[in-house]
Amino acid sequence: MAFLIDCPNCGVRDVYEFRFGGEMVARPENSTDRNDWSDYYYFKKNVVGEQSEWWYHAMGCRNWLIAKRNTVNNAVISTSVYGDSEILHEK
Amino acid sequence: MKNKVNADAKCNFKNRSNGSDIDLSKKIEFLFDEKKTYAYKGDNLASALYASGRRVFSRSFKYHRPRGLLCVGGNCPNCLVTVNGVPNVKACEKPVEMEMVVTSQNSWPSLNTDFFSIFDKMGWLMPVGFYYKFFHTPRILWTIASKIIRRIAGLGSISNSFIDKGKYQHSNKHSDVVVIGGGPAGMSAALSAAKYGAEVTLVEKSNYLGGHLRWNRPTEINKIPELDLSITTKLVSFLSAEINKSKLIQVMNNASVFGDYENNLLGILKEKSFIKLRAKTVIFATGSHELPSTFENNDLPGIMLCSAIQKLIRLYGITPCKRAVIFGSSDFIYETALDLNDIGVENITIVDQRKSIEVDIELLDEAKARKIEILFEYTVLKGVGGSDIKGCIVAPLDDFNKSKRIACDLLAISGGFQSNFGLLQQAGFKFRFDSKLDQFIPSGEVKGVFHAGRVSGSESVELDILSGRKAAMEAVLFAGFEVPHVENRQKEIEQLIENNKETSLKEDLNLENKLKQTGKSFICYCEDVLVKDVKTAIHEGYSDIETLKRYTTVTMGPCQGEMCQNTFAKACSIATNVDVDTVGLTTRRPPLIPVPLRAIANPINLVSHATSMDRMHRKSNAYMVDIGSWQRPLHYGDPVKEALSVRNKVGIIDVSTLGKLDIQGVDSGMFLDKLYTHRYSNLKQAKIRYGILCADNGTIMDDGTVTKLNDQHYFVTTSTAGIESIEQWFKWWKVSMKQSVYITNVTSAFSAINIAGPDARNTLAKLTDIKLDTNRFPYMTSIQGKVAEIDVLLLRVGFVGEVGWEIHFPSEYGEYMWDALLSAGKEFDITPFGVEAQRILRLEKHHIIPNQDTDILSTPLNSGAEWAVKFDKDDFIGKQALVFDKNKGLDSLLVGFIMEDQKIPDDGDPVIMDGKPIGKVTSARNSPVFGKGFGLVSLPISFAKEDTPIFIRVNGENLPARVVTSPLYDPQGEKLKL
Repeated sequence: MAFLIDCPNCGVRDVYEFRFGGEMVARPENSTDRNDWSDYYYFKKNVVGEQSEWWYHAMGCRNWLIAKRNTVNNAVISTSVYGDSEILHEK
Repeated sequence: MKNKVNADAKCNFKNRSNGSDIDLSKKIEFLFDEKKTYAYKGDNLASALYASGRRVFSRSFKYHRPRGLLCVGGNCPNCLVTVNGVPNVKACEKPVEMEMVVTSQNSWPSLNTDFFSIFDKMGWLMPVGFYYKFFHTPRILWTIASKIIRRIAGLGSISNSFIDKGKYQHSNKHSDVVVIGGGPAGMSAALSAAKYGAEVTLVEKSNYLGGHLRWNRPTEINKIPELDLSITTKLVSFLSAEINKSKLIQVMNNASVFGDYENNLLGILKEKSFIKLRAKTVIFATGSHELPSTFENNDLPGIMLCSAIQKLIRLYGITPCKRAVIFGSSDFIYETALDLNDIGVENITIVDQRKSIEVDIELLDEAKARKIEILFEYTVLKGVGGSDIKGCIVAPLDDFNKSKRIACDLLAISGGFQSNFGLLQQAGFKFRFDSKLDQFIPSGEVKGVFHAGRVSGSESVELDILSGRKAAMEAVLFAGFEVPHVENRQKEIEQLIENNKETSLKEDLNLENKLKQTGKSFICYCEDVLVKDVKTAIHEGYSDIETLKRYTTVTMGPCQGEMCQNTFAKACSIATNVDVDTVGLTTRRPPLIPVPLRAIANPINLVSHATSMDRMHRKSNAYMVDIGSWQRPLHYGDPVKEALSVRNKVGIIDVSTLGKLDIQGVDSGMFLDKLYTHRYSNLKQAKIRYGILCADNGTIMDDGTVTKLNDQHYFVTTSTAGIESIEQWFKWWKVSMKQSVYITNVTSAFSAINIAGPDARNTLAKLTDIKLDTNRFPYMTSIQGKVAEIDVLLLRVGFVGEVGWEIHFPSEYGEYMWDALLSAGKEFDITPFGVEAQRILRLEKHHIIPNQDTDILSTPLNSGAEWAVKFDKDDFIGKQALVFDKNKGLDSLLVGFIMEDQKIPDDGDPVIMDGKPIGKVTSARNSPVFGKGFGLVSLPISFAKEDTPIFIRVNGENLPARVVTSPLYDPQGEKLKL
């Protein structure tokens, strides 16, 4: 890995300043089905192509951001702070 | 077309003449194999040693054959030496420095007389794949043989006493366009790119710009727009001057690019610095290198590449011989012959494999005029000589029986050229074999990466310049710069390139003629692989180039295929009857050149934290240890005494390393309820509650305390090691739940001291007006006030199982507060205690340490902390997993144990029942209070009952112990509440 990420707070930085937080997956908030939880926790989609994922700017603003990245060539298509339209977890 | 230009340099054999790189007025002295040797400033080790008369530079890897200079360009393994203790340094790339200590490698007792050269006569004993064939059974044979083989075969050895004291600087650089290679193509590309307004970094391996123009025979240049020159000699100074004038071009010389990584990140080693250079776009102008020819004894000292001879002449002012034979099948050999003749070598024979009509007519006339003997359609069959070449056997191509011997002291060879494709391969280019150019050249396109000059297959200076300009235009367009009248310019340059393409008359020679398979004709100089070895290996079934590479080790030596890749592919092609293009290339991965690990590993980046009381600990002779990124006192001499002092009197410990988070905002209570297994929203103001953080699979991540300062303000502590990940964890949930919570990591802002013991209250009372009696300051509550005149947050927590307070205060008062407490406690015999005493004391209370007593399967349930899980809460992280676990019933449980006899187990010792391991000791210590070994153990649920006898294996002995389910010390926690 040697790509750059455009942190919405800090600007374009080396990927080594960030910590990978995994792909964005919705938590099965109210489910009592064991399979839902093991899918959520253990099974990732491992998309070949574009996916939205979490990144934490550990050596910068120390905030989380979302990057849309192509997993094939590591091209970062867009970055954003977590927006209103993307609520994954209920309060 | 190419006119000769008279070089005016004349010299004789003994003396050095003026070379462009050396300064004859400055002499340098160095040691080679303990012998004083002289060099001039600007010399590298190879030129200095060659000028001093040395012909044997090293001994070969397997057969210990003498080897001399071959390429003088860093592309072969022949001149590897040990310099100042550093093994395997290429002499031709190492500038001579005053008092350098240089030693030869892989020979015994000396370079000239190497006893191991006996292996040269025993080659029949060591066929290709020799290890695999002879050392498989019995196994012991290999263990014995490997020791001997490793001593005999090999390169330099690492010195046990030598320490490289130099530090490597690390730096990150950015550039719009990076041009790799400072030859004519690279220089022209850099200048063009800068003209369009791009910031350019020009990376050059050597100290000087100019590339092959610096040593090649000068030629005339055809007219090119924007370049008013007619001869190559002036080109270098002209382009260099233009580059120096440009403010947009930064030249990085003596810098080797060792890897091209994702997104145009280049790894560069420049003397004692490691540079990460990021480019929007890269132009590779890495040039090409000359290849040797293959014939019997093609490795004798005195056999050199034509380009190497040109370097010795022009750069270092050396006359390399008296009597030369020059062998090849291109015009380049005529240029080399004329170069040698210019400096006074009169006795020259050219052995040309081509017909006379294929030779450039002007070069041929010039050679004839100088009385140079030329043998057309002849080839060299064999080199003759021992540690220096004495002559060679030549024969007509159509009849090898008519061979004759020519005496010489130099055999110059030119087996063609090969583009330096390593970096392009890493960038993602594919390669095709161009039979006309007789080399692999890049094909296809890679986004944002361009190439120009010899690496793209150019054969003329004009094409170097023009392809450089073309690549620059493409590169700046890619980097987002505007090129006025792009289309016109593109057309114009394409047209120019077309006009300057030389129609090469070179005919593809029969490959069989190039690869003579008799005797010791070497394909790979690094690993001593012969042409016939490759043939044998193919016969044995290794017909694919990748398996063949691994079996024969061709391309795997120090030169990494520079000298052999091209010939190797051709040899495969002949033996398998597949065309060279299909045979293909093996992959050259980074690093392309040897890179010291210490250049990349940067110890400066290792973080080491010291608390604000660090100096006090060191003054008290604390034994410091690394815990996480922190330095902490393990003990101050006697941990047992420290532990007993806390139990009987009073002790203080620096707990500044505890992770501390300040949580504020209207949603704080709700937020903590979600993250912790315990409940916080119902906590009364100033109250403290212990909490466990779980992941969503129910396993323990960390633990700590939560103090409610007010409805919208909480103070959270975490473990020392956990703070970094817990801060991330908190922030992630905050963001994804969109809650109004503000999380600040205040770990370094606040220092903390824990004071504990029967006299803790008396000590603290001397420094504060806060009422400390248990009615007004009960267990698990907090008060903000002053201690020793400093604003503090006092937390009355259990920690080591005695009455005690955690004092949190601004870090700048660390030393003052430590001193104040020690002075106040003097009358009570106060003792500072370290991490070891803390562990003993906390273990006696069965307090778990996350990641020591827990592992990736530990949940609050099987760790005996079910009381801290509030299942009646709506939701918390890990709730569902814990519900499933609870319903299923526990398999194991973490409980205490105490030994029946005096021996103490180690952390991690197994519990053995009926000869089988059933559990594991997670922590064990000797209890100073009870005088026995004790600790925590993870056991199957059926054994996790009070007084169950178990056996713990300590040093191979199964020792009796029994299970204790409640804390060893003060089981009811009465002392905490006193």
